[in-house]
Amino acid sequence: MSQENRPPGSFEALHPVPGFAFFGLVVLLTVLYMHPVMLGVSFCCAAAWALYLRRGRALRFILTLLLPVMLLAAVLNPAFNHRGVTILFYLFTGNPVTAESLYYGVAGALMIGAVLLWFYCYNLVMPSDKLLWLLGRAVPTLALVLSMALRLVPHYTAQAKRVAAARAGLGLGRTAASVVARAREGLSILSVVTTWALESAVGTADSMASRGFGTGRRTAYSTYHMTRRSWLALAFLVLAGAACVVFFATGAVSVAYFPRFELGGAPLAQAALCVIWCALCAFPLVLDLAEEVSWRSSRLRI
Amino acid sequence: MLSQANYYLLSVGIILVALAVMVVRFEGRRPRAREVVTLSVLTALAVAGRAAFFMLPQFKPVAAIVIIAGVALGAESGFLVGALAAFTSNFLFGQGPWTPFQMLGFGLVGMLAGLLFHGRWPLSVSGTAGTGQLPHCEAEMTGQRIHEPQWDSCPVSPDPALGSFAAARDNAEPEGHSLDIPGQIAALMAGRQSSRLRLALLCIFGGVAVVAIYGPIVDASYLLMFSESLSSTTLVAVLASGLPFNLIHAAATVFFLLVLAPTMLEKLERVRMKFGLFTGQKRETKRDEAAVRFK
Repeated sequence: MSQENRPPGSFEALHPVPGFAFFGLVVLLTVLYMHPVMLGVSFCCAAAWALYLRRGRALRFILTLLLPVMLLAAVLNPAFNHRGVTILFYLFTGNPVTAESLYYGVAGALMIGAVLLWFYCYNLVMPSDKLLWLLGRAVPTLALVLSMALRLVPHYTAQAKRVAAARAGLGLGRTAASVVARAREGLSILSVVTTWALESAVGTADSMASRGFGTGRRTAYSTYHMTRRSWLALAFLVLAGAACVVFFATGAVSVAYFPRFELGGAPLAQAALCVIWCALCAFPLVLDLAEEVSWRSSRLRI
Repeated sequence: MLSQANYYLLSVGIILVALAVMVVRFEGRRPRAREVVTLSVLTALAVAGRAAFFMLPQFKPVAAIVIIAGVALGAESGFLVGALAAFTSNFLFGQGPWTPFQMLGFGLVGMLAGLLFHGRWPLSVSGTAGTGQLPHCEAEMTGQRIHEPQWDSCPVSPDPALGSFAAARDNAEPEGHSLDIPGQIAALMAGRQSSRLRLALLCIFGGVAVVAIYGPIVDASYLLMFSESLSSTTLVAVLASGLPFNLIHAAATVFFLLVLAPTMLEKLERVRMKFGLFTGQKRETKRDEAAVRFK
């Protein structure tokens, strides 16, 4: 999708730098500290954003894939992990099940759920060209290999369809009866496409070389502009992330699951951390919702 | 005491450093256009293969194509094709916390294939000419010579590809197999195996690599993500539960190597001979740059 097609105020329309900053911060802090309130907030915000972006399909993903995985994670931890001082009951193996390992299991399940949901959203709003933009600055040749490979996959699929059609026209592999025959036909097509791919690669390479590949610094065209909005978003994300790190690094807030579950820190510090974390996690959803509201209201005024 | 999350982050960090080392080496070499294109073509073929078989989980040709890339292009390119194939295919299947582990797994498989098989033998493992038609697998297996000429040690060595084309012509009529096992082993020791034995070794390597390298790395990543206690019991439990899937994956890899390796390596050899695609990996930077600058 080109930049013009995105609603200009949405998270997706932001520059890749604040985009990656957001996902990096949210996933890293969720995984790093395992603060129970932070995990819950992170999970809820990720789920809300996923539901906003994909509605029913996100709901189906959460119900059929995510919840079973989370349940499994929540059950597995107390079954294998016997640390903690509060023993609830004993397993048939004689190992104790502790309240702490149960808490930890639930926290771990929330963490996995939140991370998978953030990645679900990432795959929706961060198309490959944003990552290629970032890599293109750091490792231009590798980014070129990647973008060529991404472009070649549909190219080969289309060529495979043409080859199949041509072979069908010759009377080969038409509605082949057995599975073996069909598999052999598929491998024949793959073989033809491989030859064609390798031979056309030579043309591409020669063309690249003759147009001066590797003779100077590569420039990269991009449609992304670091607008005032993107700068503000980046500043907010960096400040909020830094604040969260400071709370934990200075010991103002601490979390321990073993040997005894403990939330350390003054209530005020806890509350401040939660407010900042909520603002950070809800950031993309707030942007998208505000954009939708302003769009609807301006449509009403017409 | 590290918590679960920190073990995961630590392992991802180590993997990212390892990947960065390979990438920086690749960038620093300033690869030629032909190398860049070859890498992207093989990566794209592996990804298209995974996409083509998406309806059969674990039954994917990615590992086989990565191994073929390693055999044809060497350890470093094998690693890059493997890592890039995992990365690129996740643009279609979804990036997630598993991406770095898949990249490392496939990268190592391609690298090992390159270390073990690249340059040791003639590039192609088969004696059939690449006609664009896939020869019937069984004819492929029976129609080979037991001993091919020993090109590597010939004082005036004919081009391997020429030899293999000739071998294909000679073997148009399938001959019955003669399983001369001591002879085969002697040939193996001397570094001149029949193409059948070479193919068998490649297939065995493919199966073992998937079960022993790729599978455990990716399964261990699930342990790092899901479970807090990193003990040998949980590791064994996770590896055991992953084994059936890894065995399917290994069987798929062996199958794809069996049918794809002879033809694909033959095609790569043909392109190498026809266009010099994989030769001369070092670029003559200075001269090229001067030529362009003073034009």
